[in-house]
Amino acid sequence: MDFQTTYRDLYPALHRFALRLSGDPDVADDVVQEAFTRLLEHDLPSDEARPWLYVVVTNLYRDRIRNRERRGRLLAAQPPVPEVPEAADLAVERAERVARVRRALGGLSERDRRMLLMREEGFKYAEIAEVLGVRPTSVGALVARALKRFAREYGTLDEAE
Amino acid sequence: MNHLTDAVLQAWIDEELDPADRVQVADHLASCSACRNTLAELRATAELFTGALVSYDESIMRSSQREMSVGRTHGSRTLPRWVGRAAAVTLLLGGAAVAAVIPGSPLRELIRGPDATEVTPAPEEIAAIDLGISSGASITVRPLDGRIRIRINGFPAGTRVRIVLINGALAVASLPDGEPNARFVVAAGLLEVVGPGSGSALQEDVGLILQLPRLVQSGVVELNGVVEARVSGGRIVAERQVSRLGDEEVIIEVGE
Repeated sequence: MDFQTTYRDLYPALHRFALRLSGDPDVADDVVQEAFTRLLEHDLPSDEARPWLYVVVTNLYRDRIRNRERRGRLLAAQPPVPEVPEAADLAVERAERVARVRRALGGLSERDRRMLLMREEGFKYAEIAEVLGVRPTSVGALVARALKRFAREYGTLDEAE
Repeated sequence: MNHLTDAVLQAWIDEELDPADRVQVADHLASCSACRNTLAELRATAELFTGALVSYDESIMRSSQREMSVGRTHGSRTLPRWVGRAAAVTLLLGGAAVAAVIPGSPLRELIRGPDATEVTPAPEEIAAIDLGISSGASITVRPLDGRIRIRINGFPAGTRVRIVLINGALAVASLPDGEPNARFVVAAGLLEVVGPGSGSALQEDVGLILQLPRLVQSGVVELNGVVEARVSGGRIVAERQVSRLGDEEVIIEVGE
């Protein structure tokens, strides 16, 4: 395994995945860094490194939630809002957009959230199934159901607003 | 007529069907408007999800850029955590562990990964220096995704951090949440951070994160004018181990 190449190729998507999962840039930084550090200790073939890293990031994130009991805060995390009034409307709009997505993601089960985010990163059903411990033939139905759930949460929020 | 299930249609969208099934589904869709409508709904739902995430990512990035600007023009607020990540440095990932492999080097003992695993010689490894300033305070220099992350942990309230940039346009710093009294001074080539004058110490597990500019070729980490570590030629080298604690001034100077 060429670690540098793996790191360079996978870091952006893995960080994006972690940020979407956690909603917290610092958490995303830390869990991704920790995952790559652990990768150094495993001599994995490059084709196995990618799903392995996503599993590790997911588990590290889950551990953090369990250990620190701050799930609610993370799911409700919002980007810092500038304190100055200039362009405040745009800043508020961005913050609301982010919060809305996070609330909709928070309405999903942890499994569904991970599944949709992995699908979004281009993972195949077989890989998702392995990570989630479900049958590959079930993934299509689970994805469709989870997407509908997200759309409902997202749409409901839209109507409420 | 049996209609296609959501599972099959979703697999069609995601190109997860094998060729034989794909032909059958295509044939069915050609003759079934109900399934075509269902397919359109599923596709729209998937696109909604993708669009929401893209919007989310863009909002996060723009918020970051916006806060960078705010931080540079208002000197009395805590810089956000996410400031300037897009402007962070390309420097050390490849060769950072080189200094750690010198036989007999005290740096070998200072190298600490997150799992405290000793780093073995290899050009691609990640290395970190823990200067071990005291049992409760440390400076860690760590290459990370083409950046250098310098984490200053566990210093007491009032710790003064000063970063002088000689060769670079951007630098960012962030203090832990809940440090409302931190002051920031930003000028050309200078970004100065002063911690709270009183109150609790900086949170050890969060620390201060500094991200240095792109194109940085070398740098030093100093405490009160004494070089404690150098960043040069893809190497991180600790000059010596220190064991002081107090109102230390930390200077990170970057230049050719």
